[in-house]
Amino acid sequence: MNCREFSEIADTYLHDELLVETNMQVHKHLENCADCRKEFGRRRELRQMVKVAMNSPKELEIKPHFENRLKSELRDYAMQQHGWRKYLTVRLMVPALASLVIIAAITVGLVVNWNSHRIDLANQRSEFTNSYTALLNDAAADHKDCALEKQTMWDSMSKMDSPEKTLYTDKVVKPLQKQLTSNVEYLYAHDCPYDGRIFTHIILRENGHIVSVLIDKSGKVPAMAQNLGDSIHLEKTNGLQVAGFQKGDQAFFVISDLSETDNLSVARTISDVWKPIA
Amino acid sequence: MFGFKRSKSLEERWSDFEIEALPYMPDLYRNAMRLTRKESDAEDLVQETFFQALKSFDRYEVGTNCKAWLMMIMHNLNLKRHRNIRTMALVDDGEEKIAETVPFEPSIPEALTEEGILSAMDKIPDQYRQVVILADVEEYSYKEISSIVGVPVGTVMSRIHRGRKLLRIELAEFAKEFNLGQSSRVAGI
Repeated sequence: MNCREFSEIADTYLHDELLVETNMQVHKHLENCADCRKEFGRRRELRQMVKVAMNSPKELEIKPHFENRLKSELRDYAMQQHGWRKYLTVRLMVPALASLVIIAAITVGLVVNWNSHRIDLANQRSEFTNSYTALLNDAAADHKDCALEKQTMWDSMSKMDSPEKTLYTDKVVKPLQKQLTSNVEYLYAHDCPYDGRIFTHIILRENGHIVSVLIDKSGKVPAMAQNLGDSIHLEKTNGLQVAGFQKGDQAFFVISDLSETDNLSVARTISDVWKPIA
Repeated sequence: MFGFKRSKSLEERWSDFEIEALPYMPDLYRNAMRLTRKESDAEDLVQETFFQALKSFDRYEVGTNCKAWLMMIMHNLNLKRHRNIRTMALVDDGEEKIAETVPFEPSIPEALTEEGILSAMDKIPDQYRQVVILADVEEYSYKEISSIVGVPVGTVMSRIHRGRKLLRIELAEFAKEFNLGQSSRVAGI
């Protein structure tokens, strides 16, 4: 180690912060260098004098009245931190406030989302109700003529549609007979166009009452109807009971002058047994 | 079993604070005076420091170096004040240049006086004066100074080195001015 190197680390040596190996080198250099020994002695003396000088001025002494007042205020503050106020520390308040902000944001998000969902749902329901009612009216309207008013004709016509008769007798009439233990007979089946829709119209007779089973084949079933599940929608229109339900992508309507309960029983039986035609 | 701490009563908490922190109030005031050089500012700084310490006393581990912890709070608060009045950076740059461009490191005058030392210390920029006081007057280790001031140990070392160099320059000027006997200069860094 030379004098220049010693000068660079003299302050660190003075502060006893050198590594052991470097300390040994400094010791060795100081043993052999009188100038550096003298310089180092002066540095140590200066350090000591700085300590004394910086501690001596009277103005550095704390004023007793300030010290007493501050201690008293601190004690009051410490002892007043009762109840919920003791939790008002930065350490506790920051996470608490952050949590509140997050919860509030989530709540607002949920409310907005729920409201918009509710509005959407309401709009969808409204749209569904309107279009479903229109469909239901369509199903009931013209078919009153072709089912109820022309029932005498169906008796003779039923002899002409043997393929459909076999199909719907198996799929609709027999289950109804079994389920309702009533006199249900098949009269006729045909496709019935109405206002741009095509309905498969199966005409039955139950205990003297004409029952129309209409299946919407237009593929224009309201989307919401697909979420109805097994529920059956009931309406009374044009003096007829109408029970509507959904099976897959097809809408069914059972229309008759039966009582609401009897008409619903027919609809429920068909809904339970219906399987799409292969 | 799960390491939960029993929450202390207000009396117990105050008692710990009274034993651990309050005895250092005179020391902190002295340091505040050295930092601010003005009685009202020093009182404000000490008051702010102790209230801050009381509020966050749960973070302090009883039995560790409370004075160093209080000093750290005080230096942080003082740094905030300096940032607020936006003066420190302007002084730092200029003084750092001076410290680095002085070609010679003057030797320490033969006749050192308390007045000369105080006058010289007053002229050293805050950031150097601060670490010299913490190292030479308070006798903190470099590591402690590093955590109090919030700078790396290497920066502490270089600031102490520059601070002492500036102190010698100012002492030499003081000695020259009052004809106290300034000898030769030795080659410096």
